[in-house]
Amino acid sequence: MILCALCFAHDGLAASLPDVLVVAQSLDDIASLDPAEGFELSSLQAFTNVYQRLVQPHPDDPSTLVPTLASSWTAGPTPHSLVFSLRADAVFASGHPLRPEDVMFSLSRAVKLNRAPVFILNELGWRSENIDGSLHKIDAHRVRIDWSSDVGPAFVLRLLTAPVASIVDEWEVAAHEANGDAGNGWLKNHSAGSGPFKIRRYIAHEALVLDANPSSPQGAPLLKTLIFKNVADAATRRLLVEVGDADIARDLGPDQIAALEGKPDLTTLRFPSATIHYLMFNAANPSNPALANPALWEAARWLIDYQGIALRLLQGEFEVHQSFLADGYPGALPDTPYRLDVDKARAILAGAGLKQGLSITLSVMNQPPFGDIAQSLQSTFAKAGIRLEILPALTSEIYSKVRERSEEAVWLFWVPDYFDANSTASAFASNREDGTKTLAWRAGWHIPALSGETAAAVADQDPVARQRRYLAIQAAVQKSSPFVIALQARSLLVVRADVHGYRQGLDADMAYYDRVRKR
Amino acid sequence: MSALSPATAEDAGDVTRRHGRLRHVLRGVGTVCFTLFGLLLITFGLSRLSPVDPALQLVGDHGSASSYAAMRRTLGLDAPWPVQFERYGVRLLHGDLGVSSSTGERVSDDLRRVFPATLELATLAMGLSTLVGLPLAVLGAWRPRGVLDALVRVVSLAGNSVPIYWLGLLALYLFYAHWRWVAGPGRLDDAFEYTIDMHTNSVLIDSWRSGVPGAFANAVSHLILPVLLLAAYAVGNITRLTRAALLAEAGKEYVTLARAKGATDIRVMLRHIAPNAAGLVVTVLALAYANLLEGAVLIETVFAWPGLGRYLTTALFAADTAAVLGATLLIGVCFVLINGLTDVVVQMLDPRSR
Amino acid sequence: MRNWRFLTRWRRSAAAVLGTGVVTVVILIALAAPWIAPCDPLAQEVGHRLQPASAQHPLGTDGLGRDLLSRLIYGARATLGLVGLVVVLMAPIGLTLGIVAGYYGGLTERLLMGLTNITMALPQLVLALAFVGLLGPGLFNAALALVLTGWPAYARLARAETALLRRSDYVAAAEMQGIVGPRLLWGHLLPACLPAMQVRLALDLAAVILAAAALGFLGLGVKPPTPEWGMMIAEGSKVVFDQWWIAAVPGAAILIVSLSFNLLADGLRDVMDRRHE
Repeated sequence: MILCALCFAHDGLAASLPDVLVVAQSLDDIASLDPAEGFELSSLQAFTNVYQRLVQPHPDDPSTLVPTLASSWTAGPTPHSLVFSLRADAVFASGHPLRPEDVMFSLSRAVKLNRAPVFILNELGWRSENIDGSLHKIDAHRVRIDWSSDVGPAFVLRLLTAPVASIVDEWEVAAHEANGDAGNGWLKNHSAGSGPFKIRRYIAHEALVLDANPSSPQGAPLLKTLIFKNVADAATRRLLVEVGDADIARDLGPDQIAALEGKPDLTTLRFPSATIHYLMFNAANPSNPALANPALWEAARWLIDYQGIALRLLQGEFEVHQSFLADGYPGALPDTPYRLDVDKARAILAGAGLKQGLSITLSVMNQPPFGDIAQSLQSTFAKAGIRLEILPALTSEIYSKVRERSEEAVWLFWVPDYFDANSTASAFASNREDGTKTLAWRAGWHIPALSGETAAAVADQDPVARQRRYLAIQAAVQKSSPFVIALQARSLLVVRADVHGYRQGLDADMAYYDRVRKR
Repeated sequence: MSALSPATAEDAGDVTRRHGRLRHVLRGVGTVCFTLFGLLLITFGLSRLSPVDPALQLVGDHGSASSYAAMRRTLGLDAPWPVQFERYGVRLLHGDLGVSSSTGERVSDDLRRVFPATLELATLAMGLSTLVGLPLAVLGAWRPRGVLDALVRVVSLAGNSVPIYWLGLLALYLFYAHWRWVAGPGRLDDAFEYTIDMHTNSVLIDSWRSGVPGAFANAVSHLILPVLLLAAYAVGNITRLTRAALLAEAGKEYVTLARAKGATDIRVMLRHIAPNAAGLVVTVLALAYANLLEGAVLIETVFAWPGLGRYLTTALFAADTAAVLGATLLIGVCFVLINGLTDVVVQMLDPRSR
Repeated sequence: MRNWRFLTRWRRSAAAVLGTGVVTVVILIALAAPWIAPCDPLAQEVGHRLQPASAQHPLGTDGLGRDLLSRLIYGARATLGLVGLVVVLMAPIGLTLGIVAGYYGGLTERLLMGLTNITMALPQLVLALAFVGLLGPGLFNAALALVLTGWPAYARLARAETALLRRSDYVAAAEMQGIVGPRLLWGHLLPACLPAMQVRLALDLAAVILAAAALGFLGLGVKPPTPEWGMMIAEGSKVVFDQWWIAAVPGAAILIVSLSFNLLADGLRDVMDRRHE
């Protein structure tokens, strides 16, 4: 048996394929690769490399906009319109040149399909009924877009950097249309874009293989093939990158990364990420009235072991951050006034008359690192007499509960949907009381004044003034709200030492593989 | 020992032979249909009772209310449960297993992709564990309570007493990462994976037929560890239950008689005990095979093996009802087939029926 | 007199003695946990996490800095409790259904066996996951899920034995004496099923502990921070290549307990076999 095994002895083959990059990650979240539909982390990262938009954030500085498929733009006839001049030499991977029809088709199909990510475009006031009337072809190279909501062009440009605004090749997609689905069925596992890569094959929950697209307006990538392998288990991913069968391993735990530190053929890359982690109390929960008590909110701010979790428990995976705009976003509030102080918390609780032995259930996702964070919280809250009962559950269960407002306390993370402060502010600091399910609504937090300020902030067209407004809003949320914002995540990857040129930005979709090379 | 109890077999004997056999067959078909229908009903119920909201899963937490409502309509969730079940049943009778909400593909295509992968693993593991387990059981029953027997018992249990994913990770670490004796997770190296046409989706068959040099050896190399681990897991049950069956037979009167007549132990074992215990052994093997088919999810997770277990688990977590029902139906059909075959084989082997 | 012979036979079976011994020790450890555990199993020391064996922590610490030895000792409670729950529920339910089906035959039998077949054909994980998902995590819910997937084997076994015995002289004699109904079922048919059940039960005890570990690996085990061997292995698998002791220690414990349960069952069968001659 052993002899047999030796006959098939193995040596890391990935290392000997210089034009192929193998990435070991979990692809189980992908439900569709249609940019108008896909809204999971893995899908969004694929879109960044397979499609392009009119404008995109600069890979190294996301607050700067780079004209991509649009070479320039000017204000339109009304304050709520923009005219884009399309890049003259742009072609899709299929060879078809870029035309205004492609832009109009892409944006209108997204709105009409009405899938998960389209709420971003809805912010412009676009709906199925009015989208066709909002997009106009001016000539062979220019297109005009109008919007109805009260926002400025700078904000609109930001929204158009979201992956849902990816421009697809209309000729190609129309050729594969079936039953009036605007090509959705075909685009679920094929691509028709102009990005540096194109989809060769997608096997659901198994692998995504991308080939280089040398004619991309962005320039040909340095690699010929990208293979994303679905490897669900973190320990297995670690072995793959150690042996060399994978060039990049994503989503390894902080302890595994610490163990791999110092190995000669591996490098750890650390990228700042805009994901923030927070504890949320559901003040709308009638069965536990203490949850609506601002004294509890305040005491909780002093009962989290921020340093312990960020620096020791989950070493390197987090940094302490206590406001809702992530560090790196313009207008982020850098103050971190809170730290673990059990005595202070106890005093606050006693002063408010909240009796000892208060019991709260804490719902968390059953993935790492949430279990560890929850247990740390359980331990520190217990020191002040609050008993936290941990209820691990599947991610989708947690979101269901939060939507129904049936949980008591929950530890969640927030990922911005587009690179603008409003994405996060409109969630945490806005409760329009009209059933729109913002986070503030889900927490049962009634803030008519603050909601007004948030609405004013997005309408403000002066960038400096906007930043000041968001600083004030963050300070208010930080001081007293059912949200205890605690940590900002870092994105950690382990790559083989011969892999260079990988870039990643703050937002979840900003994973750039076009400049990656081996040796 | 099947659902068709001895009582009905006796009844069948009372009527004319042709009617008896027809009734027998109809009863069998009826049982199968009843089992599969009950299976579908229960699975559908469990899936609907699941706290996971499949529409929310797809639309995501940030989606708008209208996207969510539209998704519910697409998934057919806006109809009451009996209507949903009826719709599913009608489509099923036309051979349409529906579309998986978590992969976007037709469930039948998905199953055609993942089932051969698991079938390969399970069949090879079954073969190996039978080859190892049966002789071990005979050895153990030969001299019960002796040293050999104790050794056999401990060895056969070792694989069954530790979590298989832990063993899997350790095996990967040692044999793949450290010593590089075998290939790692996945079914083929990347160099072969996307250049070979997977017609049957069985990695052994397809790599052999492709003619690409080194592909078949690579496929075998990837199979070694998962098959060994699954076999180690199944050997425990097979050995123990077979040994118990053999010992139970050995305690019967005819064996004492044979021994008194001077037959040696081996002769007694092979001529007398084994044939009589064969029926039970076949049942044990069948059950082990059915278990392997449905239960390899942990090995598939650790070894990134795209099989039925992982497919079912992912579908469960996403409340992807069509996929869960399809996969469960497939496993149910396999189970029924294995049961049926077992019954036939047991009846054939039963010396009393000769 | 009979009991004394039972005990003598017991003493002569090495398997029985060893098995009983170890199981008893484990049960005693579980009961005496608050007194023999050196530290609080829930006390976290984040500054000393993932430490190897030392004077202060003889088996090292886990990912949250909790003493592994104490968690192992307290974990015996959860694990044995789980096993006990499953045994107390699974085998009796299965046996009862099987005996009733085998004895009464006809429609009852067909219905019950149909239900058994359906449950057997249902993938175990589907039922277990759906259940834990429905009722939430926790020791009792996990046990319930495992019971609901495990009883069919016992039902089949019991039915087969009962069906064979139904027409035997043994049962006929009892019936002639006027013993019918529950008394017959429990007093005469049940003991006949026990020998075959024992091997199965012993295997299932180990399987139950491992099933709990599997649920833990998939993220649906007992509620944190309850120490339970299966969950501890699942947590330790994250760092299995560097801090191997975190998974190895509970793994070894499970191995020892499984082996002893099996030895115990073997010993029981050896002893009871002779008794039935």
